[in-house]
Amino acid sequence: MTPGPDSNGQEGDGIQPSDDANRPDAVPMSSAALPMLEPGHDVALAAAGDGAAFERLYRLHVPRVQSLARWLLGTTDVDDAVQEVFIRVWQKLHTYSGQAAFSTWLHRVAVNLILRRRQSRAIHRDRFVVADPGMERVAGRTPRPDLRVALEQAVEHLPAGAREVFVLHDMEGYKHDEIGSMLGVDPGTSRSQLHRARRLLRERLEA
Amino acid sequence: MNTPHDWTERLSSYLDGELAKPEQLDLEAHLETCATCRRALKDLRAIIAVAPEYQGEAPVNDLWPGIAGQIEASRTVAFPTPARIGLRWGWPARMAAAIGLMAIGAGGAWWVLGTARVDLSPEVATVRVPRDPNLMFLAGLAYHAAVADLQRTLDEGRDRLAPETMATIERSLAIIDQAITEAEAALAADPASPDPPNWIAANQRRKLDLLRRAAQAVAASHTES
Amino acid sequence: MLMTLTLTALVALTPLQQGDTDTTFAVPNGTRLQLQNMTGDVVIGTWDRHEVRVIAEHSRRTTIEVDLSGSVLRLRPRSSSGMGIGGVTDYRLTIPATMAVDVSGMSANVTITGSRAEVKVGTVSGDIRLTGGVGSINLTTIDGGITVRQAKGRMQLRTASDQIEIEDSEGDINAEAVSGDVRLRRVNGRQIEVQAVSGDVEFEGAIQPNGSYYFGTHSGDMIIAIPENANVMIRASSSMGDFTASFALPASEQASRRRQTFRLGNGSASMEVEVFSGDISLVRPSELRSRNRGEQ
Repeated sequence: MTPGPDSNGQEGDGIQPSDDANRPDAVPMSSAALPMLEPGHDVALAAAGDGAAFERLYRLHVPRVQSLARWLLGTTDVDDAVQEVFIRVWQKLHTYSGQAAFSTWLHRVAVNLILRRRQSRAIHRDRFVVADPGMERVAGRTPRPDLRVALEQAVEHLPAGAREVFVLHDMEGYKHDEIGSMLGVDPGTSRSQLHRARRLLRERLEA
Repeated sequence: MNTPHDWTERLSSYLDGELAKPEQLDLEAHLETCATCRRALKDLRAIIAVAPEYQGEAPVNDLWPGIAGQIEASRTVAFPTPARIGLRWGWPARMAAAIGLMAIGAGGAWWVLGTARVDLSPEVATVRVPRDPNLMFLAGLAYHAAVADLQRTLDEGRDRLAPETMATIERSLAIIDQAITEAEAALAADPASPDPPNWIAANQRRKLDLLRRAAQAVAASHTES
Repeated sequence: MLMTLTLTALVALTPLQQGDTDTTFAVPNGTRLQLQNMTGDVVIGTWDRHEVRVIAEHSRRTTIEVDLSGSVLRLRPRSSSGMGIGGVTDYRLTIPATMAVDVSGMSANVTITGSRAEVKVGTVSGDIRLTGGVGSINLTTIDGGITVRQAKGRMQLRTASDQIEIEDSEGDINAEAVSGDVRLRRVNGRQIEVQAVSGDVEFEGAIQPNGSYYFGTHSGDMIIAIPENANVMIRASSSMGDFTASFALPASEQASRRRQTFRLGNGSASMEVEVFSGDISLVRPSELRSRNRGEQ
């Protein structure tokens, strides 16, 4: 991808980027990312059956998993889903090979499980063809100035279909064909929902 | 005539690298002259950059006690109802008893099939065993020991079977092993998927069945010669 | 030569000719046949008499050992030295249609026609062909195909290589092939389970209310014929492959590319179709029949 001309900052404030905004191809090093598996690390300890180590992992990762569940499920069953995710992670910890970052692996488990819960609740595809119902509100929080958290707040207000695709694509890194499979829609629908989500987020963040 | 909305849609595709070269050049030429779109591009780029770094928000209620309780419960070795795979395939109960409780150490897999006739060895009792009635794998010490024994019987008696029969048996075992390998790879790629465990269990059971029949054939040919 | 076996005795049938046996003897009603044959073909036909005719081609050094104990008639070839199973023996038997059959062998093609009783055949290398069979039908081979026609009962069929074909049969079916296709045509059963590791699976038959149907293959394609007006909940999953239907399906109740669930009619029957690597096609019975006719 060839980057376009950068803003020279003289054409309006727009959204104030965080430090990494000018490196779209860089792998983000979130504070939730953990080093690869190594002896003595909490992941290795937990895999060996150390419950205290697993609790530390839980405390570290539950905020993102909670938000992920809320964004993909709405307000129903979120706590149950989060519990189920971590129980499943505990059960499958021995299969974690260390090839991907632990957070990446954990989020894959979480997304698969959460989407399966969705399917079992028979959430239909019809939501993707419904005319824009306007911004919904999933949960309310006190506004905070940082773009990162402002974005999270704004995501809460996206229409469900757009929110799901934005979460899976931009937040979790899935491709449109994967999202299509996961949500039972065409990749083209996934793309248009993503564009819609980004446009709505931009409008909200600019406001 | 391109409307502002058209350009915004394209900006998103542009950032994802999904525009064809002519469209990309067209857009870049437009960006040279449109401050509005340049600002939009910058904003979208910022959104895309920070999106993966979301922090999330912890649950209002502390979920750890419930999780810890279930984890502790799973440490207790349990004998759930016979694996669904056994019922589905009409697998004789005696086979389930013969396999019994299995466990492999760290890095391996945990599965439980239960009958009251299986004894717990001390090392197994201390091992973490999930109490999930949906776990249907055959694996671990008992399975591999059974396979090794039957394979040895077959190897020692291969001359008693017709070469083409032996070739068929070996070819069939290779096909089953390949299926197990593929299912294990699928499981590693998606640990939460429910299908690969079914495939692995079914094919392991099938491998045992074929080896047993082949070993019986070897024994029968020895008796009658 | 008609012989009546009324004693519990081991009788060696004297060859009429060098290398041939042809003898007929009466058996009580309810007698079961147990035949062991290491090497050689077994062909069994039926009639309505309470008699068994044994025709066997074998070496001069082989005699056919007959043992009628209780309700079991045992036939096995023996070398004239009294030890060992003897060489190649090809059997042609005619038995009462209601006589249950148990044939075992190492290298034996087994063909049974007209049976109205339980049939059990176990061979290592050889094809098994059954026309008829009532009640428990258990056919296993390692290196050979299995063909069943006009059977009525509980069928359990296993082969490692080669295909399984079941046609015009009725009853519960459990069929499994490692490397070979499994084809069910014009079958009618309430519980059907079909599995292949490397092979295609094809089903055309009735879907009974509250029936249970499972079709799985690890590597192969699945073609399932769904009658119009079927009442069935279909759960289809393909880890690597396509899912298509030649007729309109309702919206999936579990929509993902790998897993789909469809309720047809009242959904009373349950059908699972699983493929690890391969395509799943749902068609109408007429389409599958046309396709099969075209292949003949």
